[in-house]
Amino acid sequence: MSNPVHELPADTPAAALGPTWDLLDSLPRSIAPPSMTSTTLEMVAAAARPRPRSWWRGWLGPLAVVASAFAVGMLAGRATVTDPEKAVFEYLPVLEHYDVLKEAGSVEFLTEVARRNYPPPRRFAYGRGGEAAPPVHAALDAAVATFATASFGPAAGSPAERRTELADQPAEERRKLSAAAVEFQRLSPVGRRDLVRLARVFGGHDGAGPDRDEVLEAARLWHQWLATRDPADRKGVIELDTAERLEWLDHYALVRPGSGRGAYRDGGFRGLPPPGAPPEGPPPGWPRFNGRPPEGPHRGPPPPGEIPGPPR
Amino acid sequence: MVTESAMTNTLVDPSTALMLRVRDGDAAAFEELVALWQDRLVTLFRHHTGDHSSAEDLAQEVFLRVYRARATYRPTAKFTTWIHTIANNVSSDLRQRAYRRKERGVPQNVSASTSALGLEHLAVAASGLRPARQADRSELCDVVQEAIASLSDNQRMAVLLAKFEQCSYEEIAAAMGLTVPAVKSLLFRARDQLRAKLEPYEREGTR
Repeated sequence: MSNPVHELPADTPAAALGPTWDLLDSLPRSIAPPSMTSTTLEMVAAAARPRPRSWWRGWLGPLAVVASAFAVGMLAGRATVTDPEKAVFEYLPVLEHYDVLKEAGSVEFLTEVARRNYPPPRRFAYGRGGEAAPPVHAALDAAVATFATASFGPAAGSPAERRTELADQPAEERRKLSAAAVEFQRLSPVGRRDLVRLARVFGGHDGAGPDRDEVLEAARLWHQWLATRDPADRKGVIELDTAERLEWLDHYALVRPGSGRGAYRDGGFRGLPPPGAPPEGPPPGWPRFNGRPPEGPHRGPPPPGEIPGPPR
Repeated sequence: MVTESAMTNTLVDPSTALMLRVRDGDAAAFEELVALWQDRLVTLFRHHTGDHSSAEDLAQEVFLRVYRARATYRPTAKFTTWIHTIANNVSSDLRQRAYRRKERGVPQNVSASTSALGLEHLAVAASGLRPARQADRSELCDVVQEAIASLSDNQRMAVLLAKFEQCSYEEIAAAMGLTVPAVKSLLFRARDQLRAKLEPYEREGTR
């Protein structure tokens, strides 16, 4: 089959169009109106002239900035403000023992307490002087048992599972959890991170961290020292940061400088004096109490005859 | 560096010389260029669109584009080829706008395209009522105009560039962005189609 294009004998378009070419001569040549040149030049001049900016175009830039800032703020807010319900789901074990963790403070604080080797208080609880403080902290033990089997964060289980778990809790427990979640949300990101890390250490999930037993022992010791204070004062002590807590412990738990007797600021004693130490007694020149009435002139009430009468 | 072909174009083609002056910011040269080309462009667009007022608008659009692109003009090719390319682009844009209006369902003006039935009827009537030799130029013009309108847009532009702008195959191909064989094919098919429409006049032995 031949290609019709190559069958064209014509070397020019005129020859290609054949007889039709001549018929096209009947089409008239147009003459542009005389005004067309001037209107064309005006149109081109108008198009080349810079257009005045519309009044609303001046607002476009600021509006775009405001809209961008609004969008960025919304995104940042969503990124930084966590959903309370999500916190409840993800950190349920932390919230269940929020008070214990809040009292313990942080891993850094407890590590420093262990390092400084503070002695336990002699008096256990406020108003119960003389009673030895038992190294038992039932709430801490319960929290540790929970943390040992718990998981934290997004891997803590599906929201549906957590929701079911929450629904099974008594109403009072749910209310406490909700209050703890609100408080947890109010903490700074660093504060929240400290509590979660502490729970991990208590549960034995932080293998690379400090010694778990040492931290637990420090937490018990700290709890005992807190117990020596008036309950009304404990909340204020718990709110102290790490440096202030250590300063507080230095003030109450360390030996008074210069006493040499192992006396604590809470009135207790560290123990027996070391061998060879001078016997404990009053300062030189003070009378020594031996269980009998003191010798010397009677210092009782005056004889009846020496009682002065009423003024006349 | 000015090439030999560019120098030849500048020397031989007055439009190229004018355009170089326009490029250098000569407003008077642009006015001369408009005066030199406006009739040719209006003729081209009038037969391409079938509407005289539209043809003037399109010609002005071509001049506007020429002015806007003046800084990029290089006299490496003939100015006629350059302006024909712009004219073809303007025509294509018009076609696309019309297509989009049609897609959106916007009614558009009836173009010069006429149905084959109407064309045949007009041709038969013109040839039947009067002998072809007696048909006045006005009637013949209408018949040829209808026949031209029945071509496709590309065929019509190729025919008009060949007839009214005396363009060669190569120049038509350059202006329309086609190959020379494609232009030959376009003209071949256009000839067949025009012959079918204008056969009564051809049979009468025009001139």
